[in-house]
Amino acid sequence: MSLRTVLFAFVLAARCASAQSAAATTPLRVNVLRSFDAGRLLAGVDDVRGASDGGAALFEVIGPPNGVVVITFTLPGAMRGDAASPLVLDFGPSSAEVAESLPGVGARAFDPRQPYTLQLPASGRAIVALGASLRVPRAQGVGRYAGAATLSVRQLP
Amino acid sequence: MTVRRVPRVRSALARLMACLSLATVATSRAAAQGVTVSPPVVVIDARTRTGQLDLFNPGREPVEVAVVLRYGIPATDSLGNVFVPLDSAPPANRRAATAWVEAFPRRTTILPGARQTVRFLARPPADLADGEYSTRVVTSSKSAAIPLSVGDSASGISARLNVEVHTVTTLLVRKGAVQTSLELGTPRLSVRNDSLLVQVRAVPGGTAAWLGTLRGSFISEQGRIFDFLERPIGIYEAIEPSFAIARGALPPGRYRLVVTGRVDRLDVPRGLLTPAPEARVETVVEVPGQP
Repeated sequence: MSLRTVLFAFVLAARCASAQSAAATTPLRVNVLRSFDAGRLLAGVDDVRGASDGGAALFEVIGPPNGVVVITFTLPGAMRGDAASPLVLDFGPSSAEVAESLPGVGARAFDPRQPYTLQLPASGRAIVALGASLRVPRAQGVGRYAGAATLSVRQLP
Repeated sequence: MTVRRVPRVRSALARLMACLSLATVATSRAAAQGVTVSPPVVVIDARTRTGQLDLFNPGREPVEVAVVLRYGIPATDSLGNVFVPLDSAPPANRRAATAWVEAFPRRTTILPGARQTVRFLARPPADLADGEYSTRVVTSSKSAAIPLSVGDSASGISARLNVEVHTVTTLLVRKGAVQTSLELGTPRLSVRNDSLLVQVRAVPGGTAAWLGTLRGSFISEQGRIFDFLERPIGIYEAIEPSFAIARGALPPGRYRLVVTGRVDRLDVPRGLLTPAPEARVETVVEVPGQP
């Protein structure tokens, strides 16, 4: 075995060990990339904002390459505000999407009302999008409304 | 014998679009960052009783962080979907560390670019049996709030939806010698919509969770191997997860379906894994053609 072969084997082994070590210590992180923006609403006109639409909320999940996480949303049914009647929010079977880059590019739709198991790609990065439908009856009062939701990313194990 | 991966559709155009789109989004990223939580798995020896978690705020705004402990282990529903329900009060018959591990600090504010160490102190009961005990660490970051803007005119309707991000990682406490094992049931193949589903029952044994990777392959009568599964997983109690394969990815015919479970994980340092013999099952299945 030549010195060159031994050196090559050594470098290869070091790189493999380094890659495994990096994966093993990759922290888990969730970034909020973009807020949900439904644009201007008109009383009496419902707004359906899909996960692939421009106004959807975008989250970035970064973790170990090929690692598995379970994504869970806790979603409000309505938002309350100055007016007496709340602004009703709806989420459906395809209100959320996950993709390696952005929704719409190889994206898979999922129901944000149910836990979703996501295996991160080799890059260790995935984008999760959340859309919603807003029910705006004609009698909806003008004003500001507020609600609270939770995005939980649970790493296995 | 030839080895082939189940093909994935990735066009160069899609990659280009993805890069362009990500570049666009990156400009708005700094507005609302979450915190980085590491390591994903904290292991505490019951003799030393301490461990730590490091938090880092890479954003430009201070982040309010809260750390709480909840009990939760992976479970599956009848369709094989995996979920991790979190309970503040774990069932009595589980190896839970939730009640006797404390986190310090439990609330803090992390300034932009700053780090915070969260230390854990385990106070196990004196009569605790040897084994591995688990809890989940829920790190909540409140600055990760996204405004839900609904209309922006003064006379219109506006609303705000604050999303709190919870990052859930794992803490294990090991007392004495721990052992684990894995038993796999015969895998079952079914068709659901445009997917083939492989469901396999996995039962852990011993006094510790089985942390490893499940792998699966279809082997045709001609000896061609179609790898369809490589899933890191933690098995704390019997579950029956399912794994989907696109129907078109596998030519119809008769196959040997092989599923193995090995204690190796890319996301967990090898030294933290409890060794166990490899588990392996196989069966013969008929893959139907497209309707």
